Amino acid sequence: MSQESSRPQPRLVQFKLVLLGESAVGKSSIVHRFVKDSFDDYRESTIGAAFLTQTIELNPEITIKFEIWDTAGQERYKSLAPMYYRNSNAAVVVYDITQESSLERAKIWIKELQRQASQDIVIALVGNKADLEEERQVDNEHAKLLAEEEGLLFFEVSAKSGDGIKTIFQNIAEKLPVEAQLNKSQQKLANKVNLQRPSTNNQASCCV
Amino acid sequence: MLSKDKKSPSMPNIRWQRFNMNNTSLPILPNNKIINDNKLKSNNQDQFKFKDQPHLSHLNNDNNGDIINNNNSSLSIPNSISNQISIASSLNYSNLSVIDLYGAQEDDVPSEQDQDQDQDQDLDGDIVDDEGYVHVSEQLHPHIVKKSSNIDPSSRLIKDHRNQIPIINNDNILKSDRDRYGFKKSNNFISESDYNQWWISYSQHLIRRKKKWNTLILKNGLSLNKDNPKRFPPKSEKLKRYIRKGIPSEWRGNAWWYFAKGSEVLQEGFYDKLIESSIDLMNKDVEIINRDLNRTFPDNIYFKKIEKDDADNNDDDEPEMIQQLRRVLVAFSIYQPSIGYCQSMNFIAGLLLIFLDEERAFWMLVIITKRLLPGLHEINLEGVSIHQGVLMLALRDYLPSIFEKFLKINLIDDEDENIQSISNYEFLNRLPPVMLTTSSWFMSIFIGILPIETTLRVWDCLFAEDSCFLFKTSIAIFKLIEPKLLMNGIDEMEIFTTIQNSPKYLLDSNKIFDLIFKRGEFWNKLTQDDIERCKKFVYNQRKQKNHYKDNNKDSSNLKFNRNLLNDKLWNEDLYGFKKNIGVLQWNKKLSERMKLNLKKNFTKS
Repeated sequence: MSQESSRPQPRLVQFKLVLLGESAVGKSSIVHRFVKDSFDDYRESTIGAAFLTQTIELNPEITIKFEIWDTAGQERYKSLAPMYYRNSNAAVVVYDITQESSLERAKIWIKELQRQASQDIVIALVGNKADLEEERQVDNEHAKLLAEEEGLLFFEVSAKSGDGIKTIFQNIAEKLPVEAQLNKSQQKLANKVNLQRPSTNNQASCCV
Repeated sequence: MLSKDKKSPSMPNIRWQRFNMNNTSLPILPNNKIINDNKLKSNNQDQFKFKDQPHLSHLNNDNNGDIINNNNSSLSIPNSISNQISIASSLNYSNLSVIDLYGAQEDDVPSEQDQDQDQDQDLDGDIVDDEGYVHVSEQLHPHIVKKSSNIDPSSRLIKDHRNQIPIINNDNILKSDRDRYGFKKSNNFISESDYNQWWISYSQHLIRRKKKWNTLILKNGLSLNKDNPKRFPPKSEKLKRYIRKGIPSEWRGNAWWYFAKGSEVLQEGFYDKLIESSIDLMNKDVEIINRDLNRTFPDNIYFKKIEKDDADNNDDDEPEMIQQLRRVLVAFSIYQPSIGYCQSMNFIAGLLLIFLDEERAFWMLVIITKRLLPGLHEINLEGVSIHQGVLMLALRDYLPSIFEKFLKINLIDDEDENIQSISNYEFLNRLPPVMLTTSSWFMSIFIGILPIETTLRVWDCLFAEDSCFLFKTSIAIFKLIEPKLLMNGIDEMEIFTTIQNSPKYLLDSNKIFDLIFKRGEFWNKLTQDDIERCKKFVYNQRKQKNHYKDNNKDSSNLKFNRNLLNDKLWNEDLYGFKKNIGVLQWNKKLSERMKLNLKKNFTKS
């Protein structure tokens, strides 16, 4: 490593993040704004799930890499959802501020996450389509209160304009257990080395 | 660790000890040891299942339409250029030897006239032409109908769909930013110049194939019907080979309809009645359908929202295709309440509508969801898990290194538990996270996964050979990316990304098809019966473990449903074999395979 340089290389910490929420609330659009900084008025419906990654700098020492699962929104896909959130460190639950019913769906997701996901999962409640103020059905204060009661992060954003998108991930990153994750991955790496050594030796001796 | 014999590196290690496992209902996939011995394995098992014979009364030739004309070539690419084209692809699978197998067997040598080997000498630039064939206009997509209509059956447009797919006219296609189906040629994975380069050479393949198809139709005494044949030859090895090399796009609608036996399911007038009863219908399905309409091929010229000059009310200027899509999906949701509407069906119906009129598109959707992929789109999506489970079993047998790699990802860190999960089939209950990237392969039948031309060729074979073909395709994709997946130090993110993105570069459909049918690869012997047995096995495994009961007490939807399996496989006694003929055959075959294997091992040692 570059020990000569006065500043150490930033360390890379990986976290899994899942997006959940009613169909067509803009989950994919949020991810695409975050990852590619682009927006399409009509984005193809997500089938199953899409996988993307993006890194952000938490501070000069730590870079966070998000492993993002963007899921299909239709209710029936929820039977597949445990596969996504089973090991997630963070969840972004999205609703559409112009659709009252999408907040109801978001509440159900939050309950399910609190019940089924890992204990220390960081959950953010995100109201999308904030650019459509004139069509608003969900009161900002109401949703904010809900998030506070449940101990969640809360944001209103617009994937279309890009407003607030980066903030979601920045704030999630700040709440994530970075040190613990670093220790864990070091532990894992050590285990791997221990496990692999004897087996490769065995194989070699077998072949000879 | 398990392989004793050192054969070619592509040979998967077959685990014979699995025969000794307690569970006798374990399905067995075809593999090298059995296939190499043709005497024991009957070759006609995996062949076509369609019994339809063209009616002889319709065998008269239509002389007006069936003239083969060599003069009118609309293609002007010199051979010297096209021969130099190397097809752009991001995947390096260099040791792929191109064997023109495609179902051809020793006893199936093509006759001198129908040399079907795609040799380049055939490449004289001629294109088959007849009166009906030349209907290309100045524009590439002249057929976009912008007429509006509400949900009123009388306004349903019955189109002559052969006009929808423009013929191969390289000038037009090379100049346009769109392909023959109205999709954008370029995307995040393929540039327009990649596309053009590929197209120059692939269009030659298409022209050759078209010529051969024309001859085949005529030789069978069928009518080309002004380049719009409605009847196709009866099943044969040759026909299968032809389908595997691609049905001409202009004929695809009719051909799919014919090979999927659409006329068997079509009930005259029923679709119109469904539409009629769906007027003013509003429910959750309709709501989601409406939300998805403009999210179905938003870049395709037929589906694209029409740009409004003046900001007046929407919906009135909806593209005709979107209206058809709505009608088909809503009608289907009424027709099949156990499915209703499932996201992904919008793409399937959308693609059907590019090739078929909406009534036939509707019935094809019925065939796909009921006969070809039963249970896959059902409300609880249990069918997705079953299909993914079968894919895991197939990987386990054909690409064991990949299988093992997948199991390690993201499961419990404890190695012992992982091993346990392999031995007791826990992986069928808790599918490994990799399956999240492949569930859409089946749900949308590769639409948006593979490039469109490749997808269409998979569809050709799906309708002619049933869903086992989708598994073959999946395994071939994994085989293509195997070197990358097995690279040292590859992390799970790279694995997910590779699985998700690599198929999108497979513009050259011949590349993947050559691999699917490559001699010596065993998956190409996978039969539909094998798949059905595997499905049943996975189904039983999941049922035994009662996977869903604990987590989802609240939902009555999550009951196991007999629609998940084909009728013939449904058995009241799920935990044991009933003494019916099918099972006896299966057991006999199983024991034959075991005997054969024991014998082989014995002679070897």
